[in-house]
Formats: sequence, C-alpha cells, structure tokens
Amino acid sequence: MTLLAMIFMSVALAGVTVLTAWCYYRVLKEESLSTRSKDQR
Amino acid sequence: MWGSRLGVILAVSGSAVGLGNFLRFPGNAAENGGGAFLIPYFIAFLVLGVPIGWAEWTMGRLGGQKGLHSAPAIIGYWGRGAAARYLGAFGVLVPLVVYFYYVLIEAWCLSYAWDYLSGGIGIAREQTVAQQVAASADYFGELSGRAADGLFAAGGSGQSIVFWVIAFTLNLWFLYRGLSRGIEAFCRWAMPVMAVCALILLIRVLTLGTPDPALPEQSVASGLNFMWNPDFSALGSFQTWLAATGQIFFSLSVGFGVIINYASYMKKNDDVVLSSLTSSATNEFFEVVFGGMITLTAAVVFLGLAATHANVGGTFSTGFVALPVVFVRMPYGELFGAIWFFMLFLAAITSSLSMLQPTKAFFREALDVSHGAATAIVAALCIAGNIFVLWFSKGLVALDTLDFWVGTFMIFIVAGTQIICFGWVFGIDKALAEAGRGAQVRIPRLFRFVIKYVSPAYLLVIFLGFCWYDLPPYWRSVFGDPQTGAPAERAVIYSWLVILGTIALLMAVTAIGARRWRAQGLDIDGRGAAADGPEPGREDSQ
Repeated sequence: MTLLAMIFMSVALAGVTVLTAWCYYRVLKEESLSTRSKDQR
Repeated sequence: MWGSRLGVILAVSGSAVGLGNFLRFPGNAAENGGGAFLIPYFIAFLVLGVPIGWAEWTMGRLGGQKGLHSAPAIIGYWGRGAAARYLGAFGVLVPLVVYFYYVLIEAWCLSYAWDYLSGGIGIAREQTVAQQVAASADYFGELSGRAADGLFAAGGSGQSIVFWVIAFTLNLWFLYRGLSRGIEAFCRWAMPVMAVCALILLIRVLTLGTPDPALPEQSVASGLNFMWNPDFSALGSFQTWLAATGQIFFSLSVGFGVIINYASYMKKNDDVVLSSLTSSATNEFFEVVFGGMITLTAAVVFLGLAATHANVGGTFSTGFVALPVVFVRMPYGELFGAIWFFMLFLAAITSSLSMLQPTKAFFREALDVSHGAATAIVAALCIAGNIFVLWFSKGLVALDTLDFWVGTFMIFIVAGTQIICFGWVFGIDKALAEAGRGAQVRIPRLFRFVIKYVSPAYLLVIFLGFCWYDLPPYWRSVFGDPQTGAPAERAVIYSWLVILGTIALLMAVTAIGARRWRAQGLDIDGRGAAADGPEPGREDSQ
C-alpha cells in the first residue's frame, strides 16, 4: 500500500468518524438534558 | 409524530444508507481516481448534500406546522403557487416509482441471505475464478429473471417471487403500524444491527492478511491500495466530478421527497440543523468507512486485481456476481455471506420503507382518506408496479429504465425545485431564520451564499453534464445496440407509459388535493408566508 493511499484513507476515515461521533455526542447530550429536565419537572 | 429525535435521525439515516453505500461507492471511487475521488466527493458533500439536506428538513418541518405533510403541498407552500406544487408532485413520483423496483432488489438480498444460511448458492469451491464468476452470474440471472420476460414461466424464478412477497409484506406491515410504532421502531434496531454486521465483516476482511502466500499481490494491503491509491490525473476529468457528485447526491436521499415528508412530523422547535447533519454524517460513515474498506478489499484478496477490475463496478455485478464468489473462497464464507446479504437487506428495507411513507401521506391528505385506506392505495399501486418490473425482467430493462428516468433524472427536478423555492422564492434570509429555529448548531453564514448561488449552479452544471455524458450512451444502449433489439424497446416503451401514467395520476390527485386543502383553509400557496416565521437574523441557535 502506498504512503499516499494510506494518507488519503486515514484522513477520510478520521474525518467522517470524527464528524459522526461529534454529531451523535451533541444529539445524545441534548436528549439526556431534555430527559433530565422532564424528570425534574 | 416521531417518538424521539434520535428516532427521526435514524429513520432518515436508514433512508439514506442503502445498497449504493456498500456496492456503488467503492466501484465508483476505484474507477474515478481512488483516493483522489474523495476530493470532489467531499466538495459535493459540502456544497450540495449538506445544504439541500438542511433545506429539505426545514421545508418539511415548516410544512408540518401548516398542516401539510406531502411534497406537493409543502413545496407548493414554499414555492408560493401551483407551479411549485405540481413540480412537487415529482417528490411523490420518485419514491413511489423507485419502490417499484427497489423492493425486488431488497428481496434478492433476503433470498441470498437465506441461501447462504442454508449452505450457499451452489458454486463449486474447486473451480477457477472465471468459472465461479460465470456460475455466480448464472445464479443471479436465474433469480432476477434476466434471461426472459415473464413471471414463473420463462423468466423469473419462483424464489424471487416468494422473497418479494415476504419483503413486500414486511414493508406494508411497518407502514401500516405508522410512523412511530412502525418505521421509527424498526429503524431504531435495524440501524445498530446493520452497523454491527458491517463491523463484523470489516474486522473479518481486515484480518485476512494474505490467504495464499503463493499469491502475495492478493492481500488486504493490495485491496486497500486498489481502492485508495490516488490518481490525481482523474481530477482533470469532468466525469470524475460528475461521478462524485452523483454518488453524494443519490446516496444522501436528497431530492427524493422522503426527508421533506419525514421532517413534517417534527415539532415546531425541534432542531433540524444538527439532525440533518447527523443523518448525513451517518450515511457518510457507512459509505466511506464500511463501503470503502470492505467490498473491494475482499474482492482483491480473493479474486485478484484483474478479476476485480473486470467484475466490480456496477451495483449488481459487484453485489450479486463478484461478492458471492468471494464468499465461496473465504473461510466460513456461508456465515459471512449470510451476514453480508442480511446487512444489505436491512440497508434496503430501511430505504424502501421511506419510499412508501411519503406516498401514503400524499394520498391520505389529498384524498382525505383513512390511514388504512391510504395504505391500501399505496399497496395496490406498488403491487401493480412490482408485477410490471417482475414481468419485464429480460435484461432488467424495465428496472433500468425506471431507475434511469425516475431514480436519477427526476431527482434533479425535485432537488432543483426545492433549492430554488428555499433560497429564492421563499427568500434565503427568511428560510435560514426558519432553519435556525430551535437549532443546536448555527449554520455558518457562508452557507447563505452557498445555498443561494453555489448549490443551484452546481446542480445545474451536474445536470447538464449528466445530459451530455449519460443520456447519449443510454439512448444508444436502448435503440442502437443490436443485442437489446425489439423486446428491450418494447419494455422501455411500457416503462415510459408506466412513468407517464403515474405522473398523470399524481397530478390529478394533486389537483384534487389542492381544492380540498383550500376548502380546509390551509395556506397551500404560501400567501401568509410573509407574515409567518421568525424574522431574518433572529436565529435561535446555541
């Protein structure tokens, strides 16, 4: 496997993984906050 | 209404993640510059996929607040009039007609999964790759009825009919159960299961090493290199950009009329910006990580570079001809074959469900019929459409014709109409302010310019490129190739009649619906739009 192939693959995989993880982190954080505030009410 | 925000995100993600993620993307990338393909691919994601996604989610949510849930009504509202409304009818045509053939492909996946669970598809292990590919192609040809027209008699096999009935019934059952108890409940478990299946396959493929030391070039590293090694000269070709944009465009389910319907069941202040981005990111994760690592790597390891080049490219040749040969050669191939095709089945059914729901919503609100009656209308139309595609199975001409004209060409019309209505007719500032209502993240200001100018222009260029490069070869393949001949022509003409008939039906129902919506006092022409919604610039973001 060439170095360039490895670089392209790593950047693409890291990019979509970080984006997806960040999105779900924000969504789930918001969901848990709203569940907690409902429970408190 | 949706049961939860995560539920709607998973439902939209399920709609987007389909066979193309695992079968079309890797072939497309390898043929168009490998790793370099990712450059136009991610540019298209940013200037087309993400902005149109935001537009669709926003249009759908506001439409739902106005009591509208179907694409014609919602696009008519945003486009302020009858022209947009009738163009919006294509947002029902696309999912309905794509379902005519898509559920059959879904049935093939289930059929293959069943075959692998019960011992494989009968390809002898000791044969050469070429012989196995030929046997695999024969098996697929028999299952799909590629040899001749007809149902049980000359063309299609009985097995494909049995699995079509199973797949169709499952779709109808989840549709009948409704949005929250049916589609959402199913997607909430189907998406994680799909991810687990893909992860198992990914680990299996990446740990294959070099199975035959006598063939050192058939290794995981060679497979990854085949997929990812960048060829920068491909970036100079317009067709690379066309292929990358097409991949993003069709993969994300934008312009399908699905997201606009799904989002119409959200609450007024539910976030659409992060939700849209999350479902797009989920689709990209499945496509780049799983699609980009599993399919071609496994093919190169077991078939070699030359056979992979020759047999991998199109969705069907990759998924239903080349990969079954890979599973014959892989240790415990029956098990991994069953997992692979079950995963494809889940990817397909979460997409096909999303095609039925917008159609049901349209008939329900346009004809003012009950939930059960709307489901029955959709079922009747889809049975007729499925039988048409099943009958004209020779060379898969009917399937290809519907896919080319409706599943590709008309998506441009829906997406173009939406982005023009969003950015120009409704007004970009008001539209972005509406998108920002309840948003968890702010849409960067740069996207005001992108959505208004870049996305429509990019879409137009890609559409013209599609007409320039893809229409003439398609035309020649139908009418100029002596191998396709008269029967293909006949099936093409019948397919056009099906498309035109469906368009006429949807336009008529839209006209009936418009009269009914007006009588109900609904603002279908967006006359009150100027007075509605938050003021531009008052984005409620975090």
